[in-house]
Amino acid sequence: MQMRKRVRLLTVSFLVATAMLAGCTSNSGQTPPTNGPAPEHAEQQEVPVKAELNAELTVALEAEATSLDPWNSTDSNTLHILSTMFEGLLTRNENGEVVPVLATDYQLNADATTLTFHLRKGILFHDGTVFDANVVKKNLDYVRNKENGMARASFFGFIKEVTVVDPYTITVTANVPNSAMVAYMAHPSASFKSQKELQKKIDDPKYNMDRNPVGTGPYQFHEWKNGQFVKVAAFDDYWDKEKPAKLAAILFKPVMEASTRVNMLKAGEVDIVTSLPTLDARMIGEDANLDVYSGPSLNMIYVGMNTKLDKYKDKRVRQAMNYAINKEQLISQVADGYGTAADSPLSPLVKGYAKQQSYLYNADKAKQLLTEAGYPDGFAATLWTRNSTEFVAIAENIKMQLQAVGIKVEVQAYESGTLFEMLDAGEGTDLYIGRWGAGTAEADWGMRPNFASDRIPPNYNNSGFYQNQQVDQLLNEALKATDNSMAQQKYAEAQKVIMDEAPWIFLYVPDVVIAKRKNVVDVGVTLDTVRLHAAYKQ
Amino acid sequence: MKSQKTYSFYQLFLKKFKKQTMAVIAFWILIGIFLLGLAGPWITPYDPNRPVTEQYEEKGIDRTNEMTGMIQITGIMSDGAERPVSEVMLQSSNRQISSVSESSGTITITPVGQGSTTVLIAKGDVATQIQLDVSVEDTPPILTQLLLHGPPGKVKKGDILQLELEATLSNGDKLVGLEQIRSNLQQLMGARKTDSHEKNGFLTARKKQSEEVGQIHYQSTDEKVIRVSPDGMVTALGQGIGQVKVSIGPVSTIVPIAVETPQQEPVLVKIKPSQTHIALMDNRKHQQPSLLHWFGTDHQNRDIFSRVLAGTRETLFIGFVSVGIGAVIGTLLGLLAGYYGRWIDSIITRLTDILLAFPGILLAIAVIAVLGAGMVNIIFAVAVFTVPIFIRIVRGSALALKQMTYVEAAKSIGVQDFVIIMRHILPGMLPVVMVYLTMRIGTAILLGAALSFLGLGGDITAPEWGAMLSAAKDNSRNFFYPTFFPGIAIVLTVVCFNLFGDGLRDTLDPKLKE
Repeated sequence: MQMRKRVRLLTVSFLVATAMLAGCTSNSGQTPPTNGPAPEHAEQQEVPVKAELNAELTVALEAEATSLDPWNSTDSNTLHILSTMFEGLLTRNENGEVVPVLATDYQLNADATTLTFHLRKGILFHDGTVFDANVVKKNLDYVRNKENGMARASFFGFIKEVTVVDPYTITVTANVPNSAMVAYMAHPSASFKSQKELQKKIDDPKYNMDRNPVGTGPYQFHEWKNGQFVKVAAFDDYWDKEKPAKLAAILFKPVMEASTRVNMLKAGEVDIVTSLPTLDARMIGEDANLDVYSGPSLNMIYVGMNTKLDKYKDKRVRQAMNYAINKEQLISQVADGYGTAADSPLSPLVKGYAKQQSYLYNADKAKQLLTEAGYPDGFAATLWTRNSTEFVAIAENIKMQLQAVGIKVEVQAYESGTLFEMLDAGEGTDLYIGRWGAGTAEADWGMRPNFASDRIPPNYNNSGFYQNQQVDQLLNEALKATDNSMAQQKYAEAQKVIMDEAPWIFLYVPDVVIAKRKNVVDVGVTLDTVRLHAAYKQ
Repeated sequence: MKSQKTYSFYQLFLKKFKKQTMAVIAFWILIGIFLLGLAGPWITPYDPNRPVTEQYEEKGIDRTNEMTGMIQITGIMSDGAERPVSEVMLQSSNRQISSVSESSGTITITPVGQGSTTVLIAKGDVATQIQLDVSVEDTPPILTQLLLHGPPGKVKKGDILQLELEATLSNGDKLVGLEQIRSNLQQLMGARKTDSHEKNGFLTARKKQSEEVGQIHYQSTDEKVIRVSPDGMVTALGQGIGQVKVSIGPVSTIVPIAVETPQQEPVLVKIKPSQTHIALMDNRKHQQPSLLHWFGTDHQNRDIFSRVLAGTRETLFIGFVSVGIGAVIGTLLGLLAGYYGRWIDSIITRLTDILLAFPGILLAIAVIAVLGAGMVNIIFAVAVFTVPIFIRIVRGSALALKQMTYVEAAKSIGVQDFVIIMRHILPGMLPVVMVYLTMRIGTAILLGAALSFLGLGGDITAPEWGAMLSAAKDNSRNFFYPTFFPGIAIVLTVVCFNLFGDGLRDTLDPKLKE
């Protein structure tokens, strides 16, 4: 009897769950959330109050947004959307400097353990709730709690506790002295969402925050149609009356195929295109109706090598391979000039970057070093690459250039997921092409995952098994350094050691290339994301 | 009168075949393709695996003048002496047009893309510009160097001097004196407007260039010693050595002025490049088809003609070997199934049905997925894909031939099965197998190319038609030749095999009368 009862119960709950799931998907796919006041707001938005505002803006992104929760997305592609809806206490301006947004000022104490913010008053979330210190605490406590399973949880792992001093003053305390704290708090993932929204999630763990973004930004969420667009609409009660939304709405469309993006832009179907193919960039730049922006990104493209293998154990071999590659030629060949030769393991945009003596192309020196290291006739190597055209082209070029100094390279292309698995497994790695984006724009994240001894496979991402105690020590000291210039000095030193030790073939920092139609004005580009706060159409 | 015509199968065959004009043409083209494939590695004009730019020297083609610009720079000191300068700051104002590097006084300029740009050579307060045209002509001259002539005699406190300014243009003209420079300036700077992208609606951290590009700026480095008016009137104020810096846009120079002190060490006042205007060709990749490169060059600047030639052999190899293997195995199994029938037939036919249930390309991909990428595996995959079709055809023919009276006769006198199959059945079905083989080669080549297009062919950098198409597909909007020529090679080969096969069938089919 009992058995049967349980079965029936199970069936019922299963049915309910199915119905709920079905309800969920149709809801999130078609319309804004039915619970909460968001839809009413959204409808208000469409009333002609906004007639004086400019029309809609359409942005073509290279992929669908992963999640509209700033704590649960890690790709810069989604960031283009999130930056219209969410704001943090701090942000970076166009020059990469940290500036306060929801805070009026901030204070890092002398031993770099606590960071105190004074919050701006009179800020409303899109759902009408008020922003204050309690909200900040609740937000930070939620995201850094690993049990909540947010993708950014470990990003906030440096926080020991968050204390509310008074309703508009808050202190963030770090586990260990951490001079990079300010940079972390200025990262777009340190954004704040409405307490009401957060409470819903706490009450009902199934509540989908990925599709219900409620922040403080000048635009509020309107609709997400799967595979078609994400739409945000102007928010009337935005706190900064000097910088209100100047567009009625912004549509973000995922367009996978690069050539389609280019054609859509040319035809005027979209106004802004992110990640333009470099070959098209110059032609588009010459078009009178279009503008192209290009600038360095946070990424670094490199060839990693398995330093456990005998052939790469000798530093001279690794250096020789660095000398053997003509980076300028590579950049012009595969990136049409949209890139900068690497002169550090970090992109120049990263805080803590220090220019090092780069390996200028010198084939004779490369051969000489190889001879000294006992490889006068070179050796054979296997180069793993992702199978996208861009990476294959890089691999081909590397192959030809290494061949010139006697290193025979066989290129093997894999689908990127497979490649990452192979690298994380750490078996049979020889040479591999990597692209590292220092998302935080901060030196620690640029170097630690790639060069720290404890990050070798299966840990993230030192796939070349590079181990150097000096580097470890410098990175740790830099993080603990209370004095900013001291930290910079340690980072500079670490870069110098890494550059000299050459565990990678340092290739280049690719440019971000963004194109827009001429009638769209004031499109911000911060680091490598597009900021559309101030954009408007003429 | 004439001797009686003897019956010859071959003569009859040839006579019939010759009537198939298309098939004959296709046959000769195929012979040509074969020869090219065999001779491939020896007749390629360039090494198909290396960029052509590296090979011009070996081939005795002199294109260095168009490919890289070499400029010697010398420094001119304030006392008129010439000294070598090194460790200068170099900047290409458009990295998408050129890149620059320097070693011991020689500047190497490498073109990156088409357009006109400037290269700034600077050391301290002295900056010189070079005009660089990549694959463009008739660009208006630009200002390249400035020189401020120092005072001829000694300078006393309170003296007012007018220093003579001399500007050199990229076409070699010299403009002397403020008036002349000013009047020409408008025109000079107007030409630069086209490539200024400052107001483009992006809010970025781009450094603002000096606001008034078309203005002459005078500046004194030491206000206590000398003062300089915006018109270039220099007033000596106090004892010491001062410097006057003049700049127009990015170009600048300085002149030291010693007031009531003996002139000190001469300083650098001008960087003199051996050329002020360089015209280069953009041939670092995607060169147009020309006499030098019949099919143009690809994204790594490799000669497409050489690559297509080099790829012929591999493509034919994949086609022949895989279909050959498939045909042999398929024929054997088909014969067994058709001749013996019963359970052998059932097993083989069921297996064939299973294999035929997969779409061809999927089956091949599945095989590659199991075995891994590589040429040998592609051959195997295509063979697997060919086998079932041959089994079917051969089995059908075998069933028909088995009923023939001569087979029954042979059986009745006790000829061994093996002999019957080889002597009486196999020859009878050879025409069908041959026809099918020829037509299948076309399909096999197509499939092989498709697999390497998908990156399953092992070495993706090898000159293989499918891989070449795959690498060039993203740029097909901008350049037709990297995709067109390998594509046409595939089409031509496959069409020829199909036409040839069609012709063979028409010739060999006994039902088709003359």
